[in-house]
Amino acid sequence: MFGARQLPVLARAGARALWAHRAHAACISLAMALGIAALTVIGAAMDGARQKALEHAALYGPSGVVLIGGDLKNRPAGQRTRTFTFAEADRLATGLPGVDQVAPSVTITRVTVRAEGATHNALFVSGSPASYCRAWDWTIVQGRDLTEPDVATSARVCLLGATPARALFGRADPVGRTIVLRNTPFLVVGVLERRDVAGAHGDVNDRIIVPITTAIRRFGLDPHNYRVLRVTFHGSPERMDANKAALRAFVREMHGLGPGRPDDFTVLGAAEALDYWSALTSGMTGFLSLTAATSLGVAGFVLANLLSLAVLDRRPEIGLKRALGWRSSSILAQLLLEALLLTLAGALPGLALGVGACAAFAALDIMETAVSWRVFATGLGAALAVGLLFGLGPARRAARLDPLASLKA
Amino acid sequence: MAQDVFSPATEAASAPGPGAGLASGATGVTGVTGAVARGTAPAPLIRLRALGKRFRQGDREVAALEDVSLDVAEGEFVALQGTSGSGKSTLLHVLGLLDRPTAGTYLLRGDDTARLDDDAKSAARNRLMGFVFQSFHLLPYATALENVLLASIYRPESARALRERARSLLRDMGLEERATFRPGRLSGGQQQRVALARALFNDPALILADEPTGQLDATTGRRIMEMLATINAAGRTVILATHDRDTAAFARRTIVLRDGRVESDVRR
Repeated sequence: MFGARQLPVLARAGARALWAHRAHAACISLAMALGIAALTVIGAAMDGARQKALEHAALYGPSGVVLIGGDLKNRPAGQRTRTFTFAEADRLATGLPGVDQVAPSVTITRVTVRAEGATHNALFVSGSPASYCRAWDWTIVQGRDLTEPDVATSARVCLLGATPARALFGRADPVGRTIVLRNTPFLVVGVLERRDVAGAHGDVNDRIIVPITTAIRRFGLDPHNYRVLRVTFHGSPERMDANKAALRAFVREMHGLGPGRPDDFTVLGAAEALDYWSALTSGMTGFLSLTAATSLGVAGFVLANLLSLAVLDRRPEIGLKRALGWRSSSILAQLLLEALLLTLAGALPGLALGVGACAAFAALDIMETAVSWRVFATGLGAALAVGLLFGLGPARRAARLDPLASLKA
Repeated sequence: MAQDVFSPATEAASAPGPGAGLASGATGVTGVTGAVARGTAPAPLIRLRALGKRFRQGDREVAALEDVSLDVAEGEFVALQGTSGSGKSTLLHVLGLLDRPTAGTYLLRGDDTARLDDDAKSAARNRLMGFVFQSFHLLPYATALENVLLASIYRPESARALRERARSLLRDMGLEERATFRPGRLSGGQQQRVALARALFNDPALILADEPTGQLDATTGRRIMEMLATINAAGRTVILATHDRDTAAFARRTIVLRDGRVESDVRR
């Protein structure tokens, strides 16, 4: 084989030859560029979907699940949605091993909030026991969390999500100010950290939290039955599968469900959320992968085709080099290097084009994309692989050319 | 010290000049594969025995070379003369390992060339031989200097040393000012001198020239032939194919080919 020492010489010779045939080279690179651009957009779209799924899953936290009344997946028609009583929540909290906290949650949606002349339509207002942040894995950035006395006294206090905080108070500190919810004034005691997550039902930051007792009394909710329980566990997240299984068995037992009867509740954790999102996006991912492979394949065939023509065109050069004693492996190496150079020359503008398209899609709200180094590396790697793979045929044909016949061509 | 450039490595080694250091390792003086029996008379540079070359043309077989047997010693200046179709070009291509005989043997410095694989033939072409063609065969997109450097691919020296050597060869050819010119801006004679510089780059023992004056006017052609004579006088073997009697007259031995056979072989 050729020595590594010849590589710089061969790369220079290849670059020189490509420059001499630059119109031809530009066509090949352009084909590559379009293929890589398509691959970049597709890769970024797939990453965008995956990232969204992960972010959404992260909302559930590593060691918590949400227990929802009713089987969300196969809800029998007409069945009354099963709920959890306060006593059941209490039995879970005391009877299930490994449980850290069981926090019932009540929610009203689309509530108009007013404060000092500003108005905001909050997506939802939740009632929660003390330690909302610990139960739901949120962080307080200003003020404090809900406390036992808040709940015990049905205090008119609240935590603001980042969206209502910004909408009502701008950049000012909302802690200590008052908001009005359904004609009841609430004192803002804390502000939740902003989370950059696209929720399934809209902005996750658009939330207001009040003590559960206050919510039930002020908003006229059923004080005995809860649709949603937040359950968190002690110990490492690796125990989650076991914890979930134990929880499910416990609730089935509590609900008196014999063998063969379906669950009348649903356990949702990070893994379930990820499954749900993956199921939503897997069809798209498969389709996009196929499209990506096709576009790269097309680019590869164009490369191979044009390179074959170029080799035919350059037979005298190849014959001359062989006559001057170039080994056929050196001819092969030079042409492969040319294929790589062409691919690279196409890959860089292709990546730029792809990133630009992603930005345009994002700006036009057509599609969520995530452009990462991984997408870059994949695009570049795929391009080089295609360059080598599809360059190999023409390069080998060139290396096998008869020196004398090529010289006379 | 133009003399060193025109003389082969064997002499450069005994009288070190600017080319000597570059020549080391570039030319094997003991044969293509180094296999020469000690204690016997050195093999001739070229020994052909009953060499034949046939190829198919449509459904009839044409004999381009028939029963060619001859020796060429180191340092000879040989003209292969004949009309078009006489087989002189085919013979030159066989000698240059660009074409393969279909019969007989070709020993190059005692080595049977039939046993050389493609890489070994490439190595022999690169280090032992220099080619000069009728149509010059320069890369149109490369400068004179780059064209000379095409022969340098396997040389171990630094790129700078190689460029220096190429420049010095161009200087010897009187083309110092033209080093950065592309072939399109050079006259025919200048292009052939670039080709000559390229042929000499690796200090070959053998120069093979196929109608080197074929595309040149009489005066320019004579100048090229004088250069080949100088190259030969410095010790290199020169074999030239030509249809032209005047061009052949520069050689000291003329082999006339007719219909692929040696018609006459005359030394002067």
